Amino acid sequence: MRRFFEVLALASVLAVACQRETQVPGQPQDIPTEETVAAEPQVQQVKMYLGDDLVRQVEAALESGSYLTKSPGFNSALDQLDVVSMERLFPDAGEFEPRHREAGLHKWYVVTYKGSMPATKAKNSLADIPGVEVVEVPLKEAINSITFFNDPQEDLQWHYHNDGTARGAIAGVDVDVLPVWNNVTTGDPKVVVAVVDKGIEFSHEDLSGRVDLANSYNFVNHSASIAPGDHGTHVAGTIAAINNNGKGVAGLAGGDAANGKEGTTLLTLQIFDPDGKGGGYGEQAIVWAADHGAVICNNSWGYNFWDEDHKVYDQEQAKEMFELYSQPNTGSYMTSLKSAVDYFNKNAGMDANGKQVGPMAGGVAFFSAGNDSNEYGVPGVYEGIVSVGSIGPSGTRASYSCYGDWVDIAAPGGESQFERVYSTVLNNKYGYMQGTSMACPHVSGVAALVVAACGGQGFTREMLLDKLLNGTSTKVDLQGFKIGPLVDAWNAVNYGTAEAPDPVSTLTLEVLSNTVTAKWNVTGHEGVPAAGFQLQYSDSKSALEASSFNDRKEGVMAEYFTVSAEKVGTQVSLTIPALDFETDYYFRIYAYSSPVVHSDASATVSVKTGSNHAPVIKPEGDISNLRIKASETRPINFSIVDPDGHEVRVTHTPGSAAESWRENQGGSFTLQIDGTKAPAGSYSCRIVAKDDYEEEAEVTVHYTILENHAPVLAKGFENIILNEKGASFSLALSEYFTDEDGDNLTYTAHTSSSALHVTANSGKLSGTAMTDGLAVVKVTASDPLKTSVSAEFKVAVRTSGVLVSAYPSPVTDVLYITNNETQLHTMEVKVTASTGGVMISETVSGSAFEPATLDVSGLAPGIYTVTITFNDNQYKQTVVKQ
Amino acid sequence: MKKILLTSLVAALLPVALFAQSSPALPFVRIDRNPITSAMGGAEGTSALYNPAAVPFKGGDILASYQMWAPGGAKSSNINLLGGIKIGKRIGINILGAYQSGKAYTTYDNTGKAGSEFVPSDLMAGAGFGFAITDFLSVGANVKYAKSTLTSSAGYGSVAGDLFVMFYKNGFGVTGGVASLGMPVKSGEQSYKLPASGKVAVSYDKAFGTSAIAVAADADVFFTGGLGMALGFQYAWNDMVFVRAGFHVGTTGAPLPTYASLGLGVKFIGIHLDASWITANDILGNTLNIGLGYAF
Repeated sequence: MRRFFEVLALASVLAVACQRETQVPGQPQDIPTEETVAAEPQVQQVKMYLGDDLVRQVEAALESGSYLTKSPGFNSALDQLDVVSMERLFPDAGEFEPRHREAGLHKWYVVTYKGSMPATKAKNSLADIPGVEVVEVPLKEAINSITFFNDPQEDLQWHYHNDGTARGAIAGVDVDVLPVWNNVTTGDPKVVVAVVDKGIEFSHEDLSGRVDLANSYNFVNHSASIAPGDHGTHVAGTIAAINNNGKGVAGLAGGDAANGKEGTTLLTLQIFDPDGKGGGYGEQAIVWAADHGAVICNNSWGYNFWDEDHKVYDQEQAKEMFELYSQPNTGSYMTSLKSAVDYFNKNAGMDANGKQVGPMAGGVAFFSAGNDSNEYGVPGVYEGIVSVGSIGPSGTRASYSCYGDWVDIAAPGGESQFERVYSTVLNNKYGYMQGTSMACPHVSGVAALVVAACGGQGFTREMLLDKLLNGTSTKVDLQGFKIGPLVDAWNAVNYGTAEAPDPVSTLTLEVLSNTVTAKWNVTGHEGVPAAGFQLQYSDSKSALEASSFNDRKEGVMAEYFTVSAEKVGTQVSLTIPALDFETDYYFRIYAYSSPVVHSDASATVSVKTGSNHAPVIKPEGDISNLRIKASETRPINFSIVDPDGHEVRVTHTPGSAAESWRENQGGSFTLQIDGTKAPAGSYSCRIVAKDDYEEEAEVTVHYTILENHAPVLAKGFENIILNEKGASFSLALSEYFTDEDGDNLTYTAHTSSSALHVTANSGKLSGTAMTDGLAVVKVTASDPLKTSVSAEFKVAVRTSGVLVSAYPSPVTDVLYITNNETQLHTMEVKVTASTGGVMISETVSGSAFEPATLDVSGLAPGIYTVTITFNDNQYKQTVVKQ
Repeated sequence: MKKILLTSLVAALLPVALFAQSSPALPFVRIDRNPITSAMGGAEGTSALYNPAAVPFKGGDILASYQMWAPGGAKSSNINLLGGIKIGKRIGINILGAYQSGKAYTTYDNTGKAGSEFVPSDLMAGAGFGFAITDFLSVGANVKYAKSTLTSSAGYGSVAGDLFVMFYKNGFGVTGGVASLGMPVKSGEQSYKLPASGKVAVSYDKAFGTSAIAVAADADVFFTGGLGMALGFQYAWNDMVFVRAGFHVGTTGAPLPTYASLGLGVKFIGIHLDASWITANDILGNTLNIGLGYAF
C-alpha cells in the first residue's frame, strides 16, 4: 500500500477549514494552531501528462519493473530527481479502463521523488522532454471551512427554514426545502452523492446506514479503511442526516425514517486525514465516484495558497492558478483535476458501455468557492464545475466567501458573527461549522432532491443544471454580491413545469406473449411537450382506477417515459415485459410537467396477455452428416430466437475440444469445429435454448473428425547443374508432393551451401546460382497439422566456366575432385610438389554430384599442383595442403 | 674401389628409402639455384657454391641469380644469392640466401565455393664452413633456416643442415654426406620430415689446350622416399665461353622430377654470366635461371 504525501502544506489545510465551536474547560476559543508535521525526509511529487509514444514506453518499462524507457532524456531527468515511485495517477479501472483510456486518464502519471530539487524546477526539467506534454506541480488541497470548538447544544437549522429568530437572521433566507419534503420527496437511496472530503463517521447515530462503505475508499492511505473526520461528517449530515428519527438533526435528502423512506446514499471518499496532516488527490476520488455509481459529487475543498502558518498568502500563485483553471482543459492548460471533473460529468450514472444505469445520465460536481474573500477561487472557476458561494442568515455574502462572475450559485454557509451551520460531527455529536464548505453540501443536497423527484431514464445533467441554476430563489436577491443566486429547493423541483399538459387520448396496447407495448402521442400545453408520462397498470381495474398520479394503490405499477426531443403529437411507446401469462391487464397514462403538475388520467385500456412459447433453434444448412477434415475449421451458424421476444439463455455442451461457441448479434450464434483440436472420431454436442419461463428447445449436432494423412513424395527430384552466375531453376512443388486429404501444403527449402540461393514461395521452388560449389537442397512439405515429408537433391554450380575443380584449398585430409558430368567419369590425377616432384598419381572416378575423393593426409604442408586429365583434356589447379 | 664404394653407399641408403613413403616438407630447399649446375642436370654435389668442403679446393665465387621456377606448376619467381669464399689455404665459407614468391591461388571451401586469393612465399638463409684437412681431403657443413608461408594464417619453418666429406686431386673430386637433415615440420598432430638424403657426388674436369671439359654426377637417396640422380656435362673454351647440358632423374616421392637441362655462360676477368633452361617436364619445363657472378 503506497502512501502519498504532499509536501508544502496539507499541514496548513485545517488553517482554512470550517470553524467549529467546542466548549472545553480552559481551551481558548480562537483558531487553534495546527501542529506541524515533524521534519521527515523531503519527498515531493509532480504530475505529468505524457504523449502516446512515451506512455507506451513507460508502461513497458514499469511492467518490467523499472523506470528506464527508450528516451534518454526522460531517464536522465528521472535519475536527477532520485525517483521513489512513478505510477498512474488514475489506476487501472477494470471494466471502466476502456473509457479511462478514451478520456486519456491513463496518460497521467505521478512521480514521487526524494531530494532537494524544488518541485517547480523538477517541473521545468521534465517539461522540456519530448513526449511530456504537461507537468503539474500538485497544489495544496484545503478544506474550505474555518474550524472552531463545537457547542453541544442543539440549535435550530435556520439554513433549511429561516424564521428570523436566529441571531442576525432574516426570515426566508434559507433553501426553501420544506415544501419539497411535504409534497414531493425527502430523498431516494437510488441517488448516490459522493462526499470527497475527510472521512464520514458512518456509524454516527444520525447517518447510520446512509454510507455505502463497499464503494467508499480512503485515498490517503489507499485502502478501504475510512478514518472519519469532523469536516466530512458535518458535510454528510447536511446532505443526508436521517430525518424524522428522533435523533440529532435533519438532512436535506435524509429520507423519512418514521415513514419507512430511506434518504440519499452517500459515498465517503477520503482525501484528508482526520487531523489534516496527510492527503490524497481529489481527482482520483472524483473519477472513482463516477465509476462507483455517484451522480452528484460534493467537494467542500479547494487549493490553498497560504503558507504553513497561514500568515502569508501567495497572490501570484493564486492568480496564476486561477488563470489556468479559467481555461478549457486542452493543450498546455490541461490539469488532472479538470480531466477528472470532465470524466465525472460525462460518465457518472453510465455503465462501461455508455448506457444510463443511474437516475441521471452524466454527473454534476459541486465545489465550494473558497474562504479567502477574493476573486481567486481555484478550482471553482473551471467551467465544468458548479461553484458555490456562501451567505449568512441575513442574506448577504459571508465575509469570507470568495466571489466573482464565476461563482454559479449561493447557499447558506454561516457567518460567525451571527449563526453557523449545524450538523453532525464526530463521536455521535452535533456541532457548528461555517464556510463555503458548508454552503456546498446544501446545493448537493438540493440536487439530490431534484434527481429523486425528476430522475430516471432520459433525465440528464443538463436538465438538473437547468432546474438548479434557473429555479433559484425569487425571495432573496443576492445581486451585487457576485456569488450567484440563492439555491431554492422548491423552485428547482418545479422549474419548467408551470402548466399541466393535456391528457392522453391515443393510448393503444399491443401484446406479444406476456409483454405489452403501450403507444400514445406526446401531449403538452400550448405546443410545449410534457416533461414526461407516467403509465400505470394493474391486473385489477378497480385498483387502477382508484389510484392517482402520486398515490398508487396496492397492485398498481408505474413506468415513466421522459420526453427529450419529441414534439407534441409524436408517437412514443413503453414496453412492459414480464407480466403474467393469459391475464387481463388494465392501463392508463398521465402526462406531467413536474412531480406535482400533471394531467388527468387517460381512459383505461385493457388487454389480455398471451401464452408462452419455447425458443426456436434453426441451423443454417444441413447438419445431418458433418464430416470435417483434421485440418479444417468449419463454422455452423444458428439462429436462436424466442417468438415471444423473451430473453433466451443458450447453453452449449461440447462433445470435444474441437468446438467453440460464440454469440453474434441479433440472435445469431456460431458453432465452430476445428479439426486440429481433437483426435479423429465421432462426436456430438448439445445446444439448449431456454427462455425466462423455463420453456426450452434443444438441438444435438453430430459430427465426425476424419483421420489426417501426412503428405507424400510423388516424384523424386533430379540433380541440376547451373553453369553461370545468376542461372536459375524453378520447380512446381505440387508435382513432387501430394496430400491424400487434399490439404493445402506449405513448403520450406534449405541449401547446404551459399553457392546457391533457394526460396520456396507460392508452391514454387526457385534456385539461383551465386558462385561455384556443390549444394544439397532439402525441400520439406507440411500440411496444416505440421506432419511433413522431405526430399533432397544436389545442385552443382559452376559459374567460372571451369569444368573440373579440386577442393577444398587449403586441404587437410581429403581432396574432392569434381567435373561437369551428371554420371561418374574416370579422371587421372597427379599431385606434384612445388619442386616438380610427383607425390601422388592415381585414377579416380567422380561426377558433378558425386566428387571423387583423394586422400592427401600424407602430403606435407606446401603448395601442390593438381593435374587432372579428364576427357582427354588436362586441367591444372594449385592446391595448398596444410 | 671407388665404384664399389659408391655402390655400397647407395646400397646402404636404399633400405631407408624403401619404407619412408610420405612427401617431404619444405621441398624448395632442394632446388638447384646455381645456373651453372642447374644446366648440368642439377649435379651440384662438388660445386663450391653448394658444398663448403669444395671451397678450399676450388676457390671462391659469389653469384646472384633470378630464377623463373616451374612455369607449369608452382610458377614461383626466385631471387637467389650464393657464395663460396676461400680464406687462406684450407678454409672455405659458404653463404646462401633465397626468396621465392609463388603464384596467387584461390581458396575453396568444403562445398567447392571459391573464396579469396593468396600469394604464397618461401624464404631460406644459411651459411656453411669447410676445412681442408689435408691437401686432398676436406670436410664441410651448412646450416640453413627455411620457412614457407602458405596462407594468411599458416606458415611452416625449420632448420636444416648439410654435412659433407670431399676428396679432390688432379681434377677428380668425390663427395659423400647427408643433405637437408633437420627438424620435422608439424601440422596438427602430424609431423612431416624435410627432404633429407644421403648424397654421393663425383666430378672430373680436364683441360686440352684452350678447351676444357667437366663431367659431374650426383646421386641422392631421400629418407622420405624416392631417388634422384643427375648427370651433367660442360665444355669450356678459353675459360671464356661455356656450353652445358644435363639430365636429372627423379622417382615418385623425390622432391625433383625427371628433366633435361641446357645452359650457356660467358666469363671475363672473373665476372661470369650464366643461364640455364630446364625442359622435358610438364611442370618444370621452361624453368629459366640467369645469374651474374664473380669468381675469385
